[in-house]
Amino acid sequence: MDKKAQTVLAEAPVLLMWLGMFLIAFVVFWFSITAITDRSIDVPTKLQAEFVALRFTSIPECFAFSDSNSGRVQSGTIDLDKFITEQLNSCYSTELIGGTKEFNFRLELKSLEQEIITDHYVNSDDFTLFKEILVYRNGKWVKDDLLIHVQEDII
Amino acid sequence: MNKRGVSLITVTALKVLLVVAVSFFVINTVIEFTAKDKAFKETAVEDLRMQINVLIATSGDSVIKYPYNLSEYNLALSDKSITLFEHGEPEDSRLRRRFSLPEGYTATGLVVRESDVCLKKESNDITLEVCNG
Repeated sequence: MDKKAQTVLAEAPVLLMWLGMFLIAFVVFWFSITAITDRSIDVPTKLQAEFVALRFTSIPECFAFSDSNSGRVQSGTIDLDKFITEQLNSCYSTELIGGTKEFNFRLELKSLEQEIITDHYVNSDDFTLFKEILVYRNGKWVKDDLLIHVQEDII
Repeated sequence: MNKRGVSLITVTALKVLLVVAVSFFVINTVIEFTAKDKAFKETAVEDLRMQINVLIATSGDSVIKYPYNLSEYNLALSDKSITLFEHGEPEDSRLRRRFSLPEGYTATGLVVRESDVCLKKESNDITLEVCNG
């Protein structure tokens, strides 16, 4: 082996050390930037679920009571006749938008002890939202709590 | 110059090249996150999805104006998703957020590089359009 080759070989560990240091610095930098960006654009999951769940007690296509004579919709109510799985599936379905990768819900009327689930709910609650509501039942209004059990995306 | 001097120059040149390469990657990363404004795009498309969910839950007609300038982007609304993309951006890298419409509802609209963008709900139809006035 000539002297030049020996010198280059002798320098190799130093070069590798430099390379290693730069790579570590780069990886740390990369993860820091990614973490900062992700945190800055993160929307709380509960807020997202809250916005989706607004519809359940607000529109007649879901469960909100609608006066058959005047057509007036009463927000914050549930018509118990509509509180069935078929109605829930027509109000909110994850079939075409990702199934278990989207929010799925278990809706529970606390006092009336009735519950229904969305099409890809697999009994894996992540958190629960609470709503005080009025339930229209057999021509009368009763006060109840709607518990909205939320299942986040399951990979 | 002797042989040892030549080899040291080679090693130093390699170190300089390494520093330049790493610097290039670092600067490139910063540019990717700032110039292309990934954070703004992701926030905007998520905002729009949440606004759509609010509109769905509104029993009457209503309009929501997006409060930030979107003139650098295109937006497409369909029955299943809202998509934000830059001109010429490939389909698979576009930002898309999905939502579920109740039966009987529709969602449509395409806005190309407009600063003022509105989401409008009339009856059971949600449209994405340029704001009037």
